[in-house]
Amino acid sequence: MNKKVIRLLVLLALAGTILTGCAVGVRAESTPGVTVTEEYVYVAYMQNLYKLDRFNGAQLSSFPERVSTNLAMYAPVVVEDGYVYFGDLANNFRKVSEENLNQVVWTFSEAKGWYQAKPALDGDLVIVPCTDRHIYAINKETGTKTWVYNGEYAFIAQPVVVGNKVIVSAQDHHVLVLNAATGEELYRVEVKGAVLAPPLYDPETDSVFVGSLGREMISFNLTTGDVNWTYGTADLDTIWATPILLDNQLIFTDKNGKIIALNPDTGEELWQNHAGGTVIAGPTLVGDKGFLVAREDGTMSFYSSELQGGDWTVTVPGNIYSKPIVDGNQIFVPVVKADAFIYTYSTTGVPGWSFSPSK
Amino acid sequence: MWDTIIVQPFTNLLLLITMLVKNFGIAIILFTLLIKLITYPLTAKQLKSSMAMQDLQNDPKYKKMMEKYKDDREKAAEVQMKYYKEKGINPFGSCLPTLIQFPIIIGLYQSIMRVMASTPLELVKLERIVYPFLDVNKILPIQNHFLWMDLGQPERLLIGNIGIPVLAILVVITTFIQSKVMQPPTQANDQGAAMTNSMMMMMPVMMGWMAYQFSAGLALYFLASNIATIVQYAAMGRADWSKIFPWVKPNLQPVSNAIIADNEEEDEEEAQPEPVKTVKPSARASAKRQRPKMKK
Repeated sequence: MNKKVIRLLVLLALAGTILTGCAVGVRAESTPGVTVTEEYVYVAYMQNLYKLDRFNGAQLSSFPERVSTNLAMYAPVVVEDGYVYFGDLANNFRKVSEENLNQVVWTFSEAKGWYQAKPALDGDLVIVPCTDRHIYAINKETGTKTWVYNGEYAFIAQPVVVGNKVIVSAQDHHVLVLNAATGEELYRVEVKGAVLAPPLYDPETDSVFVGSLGREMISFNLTTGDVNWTYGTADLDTIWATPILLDNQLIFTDKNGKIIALNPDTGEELWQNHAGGTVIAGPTLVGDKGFLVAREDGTMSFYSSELQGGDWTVTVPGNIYSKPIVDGNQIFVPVVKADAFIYTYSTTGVPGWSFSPSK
Repeated sequence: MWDTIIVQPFTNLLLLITMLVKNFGIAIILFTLLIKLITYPLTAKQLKSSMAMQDLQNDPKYKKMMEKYKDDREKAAEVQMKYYKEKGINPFGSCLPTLIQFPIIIGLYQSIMRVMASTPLELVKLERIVYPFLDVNKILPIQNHFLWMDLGQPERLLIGNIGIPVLAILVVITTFIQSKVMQPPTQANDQGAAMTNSMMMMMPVMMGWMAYQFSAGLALYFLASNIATIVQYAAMGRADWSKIFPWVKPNLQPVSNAIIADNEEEDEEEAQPEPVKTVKPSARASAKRQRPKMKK
C-alpha cells in the first residue's frame, strides 16, 4: 500500500471518528430527574442514577457500576416497598433494589424509545410513558407487559392515576383518559396545543386542570369528560407546567412569567402577578403557606397566597426548567448549566447542600 | 455562530417543509433534494475537476514534466501548478464539494435532533431558534414516525426478535453503486487507481456504519443523498453502469477530454492562457484514440 492510500484511509477514519463523536453518547438534553423519599434523594442525570443522603447530600451509591456513554437517564424514579423503578435513554426500564441500586430485579426492554417522564404506580402496575408513542403498564413483580396504549406521538409527561382511570398528557393536542386496568382509551379532551406537563386533579370537585402550548388553561370533569371552562386571553403565553391549587385558587404561570390565579370552579380570573422573567417550571406548592415560582434564570421567589407578592427571593446558580420539589421544610431545585446538579434550600430560603458527582 | 449560520436555518427549513408536507421523513427527503439542487454547481465542478485531474495522469506532456523534475519537488510543484492554471484545473475543485458535505451532515444531524425534541428543555431550545414566521404551537408535535422508523433513533426493522438495519444496508449498497458509477476510467498503471479502489471499499463501510449508529433521520438523508447523486450523474450522462451490471455496454464517452474541452471553452471566455495543443482535438477524436487504452 502506498503512502497516499494510507493517508486516505487515516483521513477517512478521522472523519468517521469526528462524525461519530458528534452523534453517539448522550443523545438528549434534559434536567436532572429528582425524587425525594423520607431518607434519600435520587437524582437521575446523564450517565448515572445517584442515591444521596437527603439531609447532607452525601452520595451513598450510584447506578450503573460502570459508566457507559451509551446510557443516559433523566426521568425521575419512583420508589415503593424498597424498590426503585426507572427508565433510561437506552430504551430500558428497570426495577432495582433500593438497598443496592445495582441489584437489578428485572429489566423491561420491549420499548423502542426513551423514557423521559416519571412513571406512575397503580396497584400491581407501573405505568410508564415512552417516546416510542406507547404507554406501557408493566407488572411490578414480573416485569412483563400487562397492557400497552398506542398513541400517535411521544409521551413525555407523568401519567396521573385516579381510581380506575389514568390521565395522560399528550403532545397531539389532547388529554387522554385510559382505563387503568386495560389501557383502553375511555375518552379524550381536545386542547389547543401540545400538553407537556402532567395534569392536576382535584378530588373535591372531580376536576382536571391542564395548560397547553396552545395558550389556554382548561378544566374538565373526569367522570364525564365534559369541559367545565377554558381560560385564554390575547396576551397569555404558552403554559409549560402543571398548575397548583391553593386556598381555592388555581394558580399557574405562562412562559412570559405571568402568575395567574383563577377561580377553579368558574375559570374567572382572580388576580395576576409577574415573576419578572421567563418561567418554564411553573409554580410549586409550599405546604399550605404559599408557593414558589422559579424563573429560568435561577431566580426563585416565594409567594404567599394572601400577599400575592414575592416574600423572599434566592438566586439559584443555574438554569431552572423543572419544578423544585418541596418536602417537609426542604426545597430541592434541579438545575442545568451549573456547578451542581441540585441545590437545596429551607422553606424560608436559607441555602442548604448542593450535589455534584465530583464532591 | 455555528448555530446561527448552519443549525438554525436548517432547523427552520426542516420545520417549514414538515409543516407543508405534514411528515418529517418526507421533509428530510425533500430537504436532501433541495441541498442537492443548491450544491449542484459545486457537484458539477467537482466532476469536472476530478475528471480533468484524472486525465492529467494520462497526459504525456504532464508525465514528461513530472519525470523531468522528479528530483526537485519544489520545481515540480511550481510547474504542476502552472500547468493546472494553463488547463483551467482547480486541484482542490474535487475536494470542496466533499468538504462542504461535512458541515451539512453535522448540521443536519443537529437539526434533526433539535426538531426531535423530546424533553421540555429541548422544546424550549427548539422554540427559541424557530423564526418568528413559524408558529411553534402549530408545528408541535413533530411526528417522529416514518414508515417503520423512529427518526430520532437508530433504525432497525424488527423481524421476530432480530433487528435488521435496513437503512444502513441500503446506505452501504447505494454508496457502493455511487462510487462505482462515478469512478472515472483508469489506466492499469494509474497511481490513483489504487487509491480510488481503497476509497470505494472504505466509503460504503464508513457511511453504513454511521447510518447504523446515527438516528434514522440522518441515515435517511444519506440514502436520499446517494440516490439523488446517482440519478444526477445518470442524468448528466456520466454514470458508467457497466461497472455494476456487466451485461450493460460500457460508457466509453471520453468524459475527461470532454471536460477539458469544456474547460477550454471556459478558459476562452475568461481569457485564460492559451489552451495546450494536446487537448485541441475534438472530444470524439480523442475518444477514438483513447478507446484501446481504457480499462474494462
